[in-house]
Amino acid sequence: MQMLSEDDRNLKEMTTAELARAWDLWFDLAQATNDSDRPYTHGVFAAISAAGVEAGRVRSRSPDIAESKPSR
Amino acid sequence: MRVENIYFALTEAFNREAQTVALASGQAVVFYRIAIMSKDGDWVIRESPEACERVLRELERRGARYRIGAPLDVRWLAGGWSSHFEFFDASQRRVRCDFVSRPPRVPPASLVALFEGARDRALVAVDPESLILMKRTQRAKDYAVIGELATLLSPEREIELTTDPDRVLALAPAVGAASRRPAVQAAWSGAGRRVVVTRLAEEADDLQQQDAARLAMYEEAARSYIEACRAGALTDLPLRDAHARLCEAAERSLPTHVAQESRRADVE
Repeated sequence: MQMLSEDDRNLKEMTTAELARAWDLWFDLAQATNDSDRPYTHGVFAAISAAGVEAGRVRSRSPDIAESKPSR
Repeated sequence: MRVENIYFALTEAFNREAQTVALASGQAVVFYRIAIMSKDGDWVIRESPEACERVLRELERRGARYRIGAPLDVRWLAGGWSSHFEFFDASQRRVRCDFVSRPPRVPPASLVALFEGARDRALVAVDPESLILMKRTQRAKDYAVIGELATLLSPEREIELTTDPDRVLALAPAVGAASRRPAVQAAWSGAGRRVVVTRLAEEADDLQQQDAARLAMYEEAARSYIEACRAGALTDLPLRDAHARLCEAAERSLPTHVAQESRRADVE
């Protein structure tokens, strides 16, 4: 029983640059689910619900970008 | 422009002056080329004020803010608490950064060896066996990843940690004789695949329940502190201001150690 297909396992044959590009593309696409992500995936606050940390939602932005809502 | 994994780049930045952090959890899985995954960055941080300062400085430079969590301070890190941050990169992509200095279930000696063995390498990840122990969480999906990570280990260690029944069955004849793991004993004794699968499932469920109980203790201990953070909107503040205010709030209402974890640390 394998978690990954043979294509997935090809990661080991990628160059460092190829791996970085593949992950960066995945990261780009994964932004689409930000609003529905759990507040914490690791750490000891992982059991706390989204409602429990709603008031602590971060509104920081890149220092180079003016205050604006992300396009995603 | 060179494309990079932001979390790998952060690791190198954190470690620029000295060995400070090691990649953990999902990004360590990427580091070991097991899978493309993990929107968040998780690190084991060296438990020292200097390491905390180096991380805070780099996060501040990137415009990060705290998310509700313990302050990045050894007083609470030593109790197993976690610290959480977030910023948006130049492309407005959300970057989350989480830190612990005492990852659950990992022996302290392994952490010492981790940073001593890192030497001058800037891109450092938690070793596979420690990573597997960290992934014995309450989340079912972590157990499939454990099976893949275990293939990086020696056969003697893989059979003790894998979640893959086929690997247990394959390895048992050669290295299963002395194992006390129920699934391995089942394979070694010829009890059949179904028994091996059942023993692995029982083990995973026990581990999930144990981690859920552990987190419930931290959640209870953090209740007043979280409320204080919310009431003061502390995570809306710039990083350094938030850090100071979070420390003040934690001094008032966040115990440095949670009882069960203190006892476990003493035993180890």
